[in-house]
Amino acid sequence: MNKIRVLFFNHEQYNNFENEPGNLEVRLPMLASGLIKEHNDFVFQRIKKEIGLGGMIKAATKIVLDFKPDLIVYITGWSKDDIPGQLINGFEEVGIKVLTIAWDTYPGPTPLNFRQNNLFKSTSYFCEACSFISYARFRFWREQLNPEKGVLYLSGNNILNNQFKDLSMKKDIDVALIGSLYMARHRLLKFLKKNLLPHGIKVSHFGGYFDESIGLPADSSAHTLNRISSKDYINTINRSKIVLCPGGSEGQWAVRGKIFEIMSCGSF
Amino acid sequence: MKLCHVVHFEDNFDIKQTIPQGKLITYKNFDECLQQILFFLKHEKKREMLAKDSRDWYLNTYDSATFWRDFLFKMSIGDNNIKNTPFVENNYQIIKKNILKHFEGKTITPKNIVSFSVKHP
Repeated sequence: MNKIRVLFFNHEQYNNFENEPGNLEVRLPMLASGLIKEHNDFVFQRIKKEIGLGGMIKAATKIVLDFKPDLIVYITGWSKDDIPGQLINGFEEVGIKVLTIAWDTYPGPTPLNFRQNNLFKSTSYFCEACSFISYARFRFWREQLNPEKGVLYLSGNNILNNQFKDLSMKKDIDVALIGSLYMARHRLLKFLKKNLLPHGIKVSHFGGYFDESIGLPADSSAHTLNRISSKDYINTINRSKIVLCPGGSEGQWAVRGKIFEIMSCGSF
Repeated sequence: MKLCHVVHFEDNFDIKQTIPQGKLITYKNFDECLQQILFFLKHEKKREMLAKDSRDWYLNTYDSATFWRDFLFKMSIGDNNIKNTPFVENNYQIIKKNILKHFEGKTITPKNIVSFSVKHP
């Protein structure tokens, strides 16, 4: 079989794209498959921030025409930075397949003209990152009405092989919560700290990109300086006896990628 | 043996359909979360056994490079039936039957599909 040329449309929300979930949980595992002959990267959120939407559209079109990929992997970011569906459709119309990676989709019923449904409609392949019910709806849609499309469920395939394995560390953290501080997590931390302290048990919070008590995730004023490196993230998981993994914003059920990262750690 | 452990919300439909029962310790409310923490910090052996079982299940179930290799190969030959874990595949077939039953006698349209919901506490 011929190896494939892939162009990654990478998101860049809080960090350099190489440290973003899109790279760690999709791009690197995909490159590790061994079936990609050549790849190129286009960091669409960075380009949009630097030269605006119109400039980003022109730059995206140029790199697609120059590189001539077999597949574009569109790793979505915040909805405000979405690449216009018309542009994605245009790439599909000239024969380039597009795989959209969708995170944090809404699991409840939605109107037809809703972001995740528009993302599904605009590309050949749709990868639901973390919601089974969203995956089931889109797969059912594909099987019943659009068999030419493909639907994937990323779930536990978000970890680059061996990244989290075989780490042996002293377990010196009783209970850890790692990640951004949504309001529900604030409430849980407060409750646990109050009730575990009399037992001599410490609850610790690590990392995270934003604090919802200040603003929404896409609002830069809510971004925090608590971020930890990938290495420290893995070390913190491995140092913890119990890692809490509560949900995120209200109404999101998702199977967060972190669950699998926590499950895969540990050693004998 | 040094292992981690996970606590998560119990009544999460997506988790129940993706990860078999017993691989995660879950809770329904803050009080139950507190009780689980106290129990598993007191019973270290149980915690380690459960964590090992979860880790073994994870390592035997998922392999990201294989997942993407399967996708890229199928894309290259025009096969759009993408591989899944047996647990998820089985649950999809069950929910598919429910969706078909829900739409019995009705025309299946995109609008109908995206309005389909499941009971979630």
